[in-house]
Amino acid sequence: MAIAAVKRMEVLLPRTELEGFVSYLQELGIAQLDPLPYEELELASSPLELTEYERWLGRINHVIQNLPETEPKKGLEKLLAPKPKYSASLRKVLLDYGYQKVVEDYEALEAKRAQLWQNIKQIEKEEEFLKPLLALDAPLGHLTGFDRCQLKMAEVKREDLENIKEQLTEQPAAVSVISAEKNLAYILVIYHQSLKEEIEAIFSGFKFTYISLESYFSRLKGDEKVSDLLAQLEQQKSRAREEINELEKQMTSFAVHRSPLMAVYDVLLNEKQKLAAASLAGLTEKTAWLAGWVPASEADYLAERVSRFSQDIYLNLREPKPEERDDIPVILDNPEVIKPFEVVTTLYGLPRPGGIDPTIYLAPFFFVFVGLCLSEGGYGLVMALLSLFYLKKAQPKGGTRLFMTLLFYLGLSNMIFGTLFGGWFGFPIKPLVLIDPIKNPIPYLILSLALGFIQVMLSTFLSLVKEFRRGNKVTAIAVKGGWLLLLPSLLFYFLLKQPPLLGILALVGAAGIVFFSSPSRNIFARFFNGLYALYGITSYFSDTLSYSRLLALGLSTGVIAMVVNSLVQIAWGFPFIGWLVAILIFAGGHLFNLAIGLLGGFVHSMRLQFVEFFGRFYEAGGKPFKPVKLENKYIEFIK
Amino acid sequence: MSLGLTLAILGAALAVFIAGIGSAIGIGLAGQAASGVMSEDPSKFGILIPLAALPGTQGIYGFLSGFLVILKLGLLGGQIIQPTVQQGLQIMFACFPVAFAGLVSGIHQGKVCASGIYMVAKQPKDMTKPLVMGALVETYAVLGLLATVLLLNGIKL
Repeated sequence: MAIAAVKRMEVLLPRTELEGFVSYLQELGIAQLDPLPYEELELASSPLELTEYERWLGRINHVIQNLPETEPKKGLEKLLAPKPKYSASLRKVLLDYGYQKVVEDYEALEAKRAQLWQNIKQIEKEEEFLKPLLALDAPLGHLTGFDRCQLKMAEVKREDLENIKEQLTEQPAAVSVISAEKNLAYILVIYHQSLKEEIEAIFSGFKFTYISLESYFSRLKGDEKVSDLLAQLEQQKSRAREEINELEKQMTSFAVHRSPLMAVYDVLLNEKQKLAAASLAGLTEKTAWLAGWVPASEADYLAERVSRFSQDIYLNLREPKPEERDDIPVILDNPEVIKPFEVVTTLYGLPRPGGIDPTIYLAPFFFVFVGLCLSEGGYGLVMALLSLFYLKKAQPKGGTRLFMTLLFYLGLSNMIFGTLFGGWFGFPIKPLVLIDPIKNPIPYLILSLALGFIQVMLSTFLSLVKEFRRGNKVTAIAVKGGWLLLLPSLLFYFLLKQPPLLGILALVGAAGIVFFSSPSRNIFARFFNGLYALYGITSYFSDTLSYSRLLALGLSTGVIAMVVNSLVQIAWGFPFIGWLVAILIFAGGHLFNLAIGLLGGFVHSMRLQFVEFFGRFYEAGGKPFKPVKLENKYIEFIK
Repeated sequence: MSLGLTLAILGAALAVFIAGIGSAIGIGLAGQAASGVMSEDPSKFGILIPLAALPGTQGIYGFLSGFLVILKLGLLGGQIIQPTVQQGLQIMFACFPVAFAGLVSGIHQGKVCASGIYMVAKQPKDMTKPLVMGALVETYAVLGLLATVLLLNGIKL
């Protein structure tokens, strides 16, 4: 069986030991915890601490993201660098790092910096306001404190300037233009206060804004002019800038805290997960009750570890009851060679508990199909080497490792099938080529369809097994068996000059389908429903034809590789830099072809599994096994 | 240059540019969707690229068929074959499946991929499922290519 057996785990323990025990389960990483199915038990309340942890995680992450790395790594090195390792059992020591103080100090510096930026913006606004008045070459103190006169400054539209001046000079008032820009002009008017209304009446005929320097008058110390004010502002600004620089230097010095903070982040993350997991327990006054699942293969190990952890914990591991069937988590269990192909199965969805794991059946087909779709030995070599390099250097875990291993396999597949049906970087190795699909597509098409027929037959056989296991023995043997008999016999009947024996076998198979497809007792209904079921032969036909894509995709990579090579040949003839252009075209062209070809080959091979192969027998819907374990974002915990 | 050769070249041109139009529209749709998603989350660039590139295959199939015609006519060098008018027409018609299946499936694949991209925006872990959806549409471009290749293979010059 390719789905691993699991055992139901039930744990009864003193309430005081709950958190410690869950923490230990995290370290072991082999048991999944479920919410308890007994409503009458008090459930551990999801504590406020949880949100507290979340807040700290957010704050720490913010600091980590903003701190520079102590030893900056570039591109590839960064990608390949393994995570730093920390001991799992000693992880809580990291919480003594005093991260709260570090984070708070850093945030304080950040807040200060933000305030300074705010100040600078304010100063810049003031400068903007004062700049047009720069030409006002008089101490500001002289513009205020008149007895009978009034002094106004205003911003008016440039085109109104002459008009205003004219109207104002008709009054006993002095007007002078401070400065004029493209659209706006700034004027200063002095008049006797008895003229207030007349002057205001003149202004109201135009669009204008009064400029008030009122706020500056109170701050004047001596004979400052506008230019002096601006100089002061400039000074304040550069002082603020210096302070910001100083602050940023201090903030950079926090970089030493970056890696410890990363470790603290992961420890806190797991503390949070621990609380979340512990809140799944049912509680009485003194005891806690946990329930979950353990892979059967790990059951003894868990029992042994738990008994060593504490004598006060009662652990019960048993076979799942029938009513628990739907909750059983599914763990795929395949030999090491097949394991990477679980990636394909998982993408579609895990099988239901007690169902068939299709991984081992799809693996050989997927391996061959990607090879046929790409059929490029050179690309295969590149893929195999790159994925091997990544596996060795970065030591990825879990899904990434499986995927990379799968890519390595697909590289090997291409080296084999590329040699047999394609070439190496567009150059066929003539003596080894079995079929050249460009010159001779028909045999390649037949090969594709034959592989397709085999896989469709396999899927029919697996559907027979599924029906049989469900107890529908008659349907399984008569109908599914009928198809298994009918289709190959029919195929060879036409291929082999119609021997009568095969004809009879085909008829027997068809009879099985016609008479046993419908459960109806009415003989006529049964017969006609059966005939309709026989019409399902079209689906077998179209599914098999769908595999013809292997030819089309295989051709496309090969032809594009040829095109690239002929472009290289043309470029080679250019004077002087021909060789350089040729190398660039060769590398770029083949890289492009590899990327597009691999995408197509991978996706179409997957589609053949999902649509043509899975359709007849596979039922997804299993829940993945999610053990409580130490999770990590920045570091890796080791035993 | 004979009329037969001209017709054959017309066929090659049709295969390349009509299927190319399909891909161009398809990638246009998917690319717009991808840029929209990236405006929210630029880190998705890596996982969106395959989805946006998927409708590009139709153009490649068209180009490939055109190239097969060029090879068949010996236009890349050596003796240029002069097909009769009938042979020229045959080659031209043989190019139709990839051209038109590519045109329509390219556009529709672009739409499917664009919705797939919106899906990835919400469910970043499920990036393969929209790829498979896109591949369902592509089937018919693949079959068009297949028909064109087999037809070209069958025409004896």
